[in-house]
Amino acid sequence: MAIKNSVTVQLKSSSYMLGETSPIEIRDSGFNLVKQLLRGQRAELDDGLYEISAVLEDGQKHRHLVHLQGGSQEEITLDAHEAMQTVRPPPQRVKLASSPAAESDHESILVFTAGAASDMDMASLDLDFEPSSGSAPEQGVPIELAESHGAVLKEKRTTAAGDSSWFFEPSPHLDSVPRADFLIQGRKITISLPVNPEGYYPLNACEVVTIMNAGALELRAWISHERTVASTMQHMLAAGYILHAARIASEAGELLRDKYQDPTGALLGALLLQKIGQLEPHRGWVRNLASDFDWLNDSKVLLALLLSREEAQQDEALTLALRASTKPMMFTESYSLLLDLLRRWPWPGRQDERHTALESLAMMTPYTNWDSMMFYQMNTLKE
Amino acid sequence: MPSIINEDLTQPGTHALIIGVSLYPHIADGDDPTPEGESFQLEQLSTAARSAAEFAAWLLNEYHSPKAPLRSLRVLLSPAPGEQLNAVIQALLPPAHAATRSAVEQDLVGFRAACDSHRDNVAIVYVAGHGVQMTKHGSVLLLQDFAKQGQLSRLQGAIDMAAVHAGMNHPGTAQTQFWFVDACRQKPAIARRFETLTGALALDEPNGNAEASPLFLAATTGSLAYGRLGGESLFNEALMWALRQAGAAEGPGGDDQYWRVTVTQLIKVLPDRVKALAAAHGENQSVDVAGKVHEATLHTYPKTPTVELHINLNPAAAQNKSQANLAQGNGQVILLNHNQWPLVTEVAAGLYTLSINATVPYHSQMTILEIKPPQCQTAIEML
Repeated sequence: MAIKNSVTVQLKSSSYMLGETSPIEIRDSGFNLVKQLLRGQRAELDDGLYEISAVLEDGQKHRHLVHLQGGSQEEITLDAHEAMQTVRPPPQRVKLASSPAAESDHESILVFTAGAASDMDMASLDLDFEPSSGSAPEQGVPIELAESHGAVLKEKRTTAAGDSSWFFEPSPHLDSVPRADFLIQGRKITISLPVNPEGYYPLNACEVVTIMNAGALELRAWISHERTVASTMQHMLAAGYILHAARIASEAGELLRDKYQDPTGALLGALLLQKIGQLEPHRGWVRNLASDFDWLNDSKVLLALLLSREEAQQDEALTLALRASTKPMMFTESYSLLLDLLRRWPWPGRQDERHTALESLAMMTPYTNWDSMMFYQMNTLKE
Repeated sequence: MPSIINEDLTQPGTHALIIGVSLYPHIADGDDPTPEGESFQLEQLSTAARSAAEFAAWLLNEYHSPKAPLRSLRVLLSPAPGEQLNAVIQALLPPAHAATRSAVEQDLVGFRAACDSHRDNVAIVYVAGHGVQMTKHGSVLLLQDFAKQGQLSRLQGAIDMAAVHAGMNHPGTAQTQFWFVDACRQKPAIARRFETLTGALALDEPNGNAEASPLFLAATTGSLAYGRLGGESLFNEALMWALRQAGAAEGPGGDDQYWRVTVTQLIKVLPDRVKALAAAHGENQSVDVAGKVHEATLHTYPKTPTVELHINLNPAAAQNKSQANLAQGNGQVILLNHNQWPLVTEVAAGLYTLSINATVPYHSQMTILEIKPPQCQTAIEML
């Protein structure tokens, strides 16, 4: 009987919760899923080639390829931290020419053997790893922070290549979603800032970076890495791992809901649960979010959405939706949900109010950047 | 119009509704323009019907779902003059197959009844044509009789895809659904005229959700997505790449013993592919994912997908001093002492060991290759 090999997989994560709950997949040489593990668990595997992978907090799938034979016992570590320094999911993540690593950004190859050593050198081969910084601003294009509302610039960093990033923290008292105005090539860009009023720097911060999208210089705002759970959800969502992000939202209930360590993160979690049809059981949480954080306008949209399904609650729902229509949103998704909710309002009455709100919201539509996760308006400045 | 294949409702299966509209007689450049149609500044399309027919042909000839084989296929197409449709679909179409409001309404009734026949059914909807997408969640598809004289409302010749999706997204029908809406996003000035969506074809919205009902919305501000003569729309091209060339395929897992295309893979791959294709044509096209996102399998492959493998050696001087052995994970040798570079061959997807035996001054190497569809291109640096 062949001797089994043993593999233990470790995940390096800043968050205990993420490290403990992120699923690890092991696929055999035919890419059949043979095991699903959690951190620290051991798998007994036959001789052969295996892919071991997990989607980590940078929103990327990290993989190790291993060759196991002769009863080897190995411990493998998947680590997002190095990449977190530089890598963000860019708007264009896949090249036209597909590659073996088309769905993954981080890969390493290990060949583990027990017994007789191979007479060949072991090679580590980068299979088309493409650094996905997404940050390649046109050289020499000046970007100026004109103004911020509800947030203050804490720090501006510029790389040797000339790429800038701006770090914001919230103002002491918020009455609406924090946002910043930037001037780029005759355009004014207003972007919502996903800061967190409940913590200290950098646990309250967000970072604004430049990217190229379809040939145009744009901005993106990211929750600071130190806000691990919220940042992970944002990165996973941006990278297209909606279900992974929603799983985090579901499992991080205490962190997101009860302790209010990060209301903006909690809101993102709620939006994710809404996307997978699981928000209704958390109606109480959404109601608390809407009442405790009046400045976080999006929470009114989510509550209105939930309440609008019941005739008895329709009046409160519409009142919330109308109030939400008068202030800026944090997430583009909420703006879209609000427009659709008002446009397809399921109950009669208060038509004039809805019409007025829709007109006001529709004024912003032409200037909305739908590719941005954070609510983003772009206006051309007059000469 | 009934299904173009024999409809079978006696057991669970897949039911599909396909609509493609390129011909708009009542807009400015149509045969029968009306003042209302002229006011929208739209142009005839050249590839929407063709794209829809191509998807229908894929369903008919290549779609593979052992648990839910194709059991009905409703196709309504309004091609532009001279627009070439897939010959197989063309041959199956009855004389009256135009995508008018009444025809779509009739097909929708039949499609809904088919989907309602079993909860284990799979529903697939693909629509293409001029559209109005004003948010990230909804889109209106303009039908052939859009802006026809004498209609009671502006959108009588249109179908509200978000409302129809909502009407089908409930626990009493096919619990696995896939919706693809391939429609142009109109200029804001036009889009604003559709504020209330009154009159567009819609369904009542029952309570509850289907288990999985993702809605993929392609939206472009440009016209080139539909303007490539003799081709398909960019969204269609990307989707067909994901399905036919297994660009979104992943190995067997869960309940599937086959390679498959899942919701997660589509969300991960489709938006990037569309964006990359659009960028190559100087366009910006994004894909929004709405509806209820839940993991489900759209398509399985009866055989492991094959991959075009292309390996080069660097530097070129190493090529006549190196021979390659390529072996599958199970040890089966695919290539032995191969000395033609670049190495080009077609293999089944999987993990392989590549051994390169080199003579001085180069060192022999061994590595693991992760070969995933549709192509694997890599270069090996010889030391």
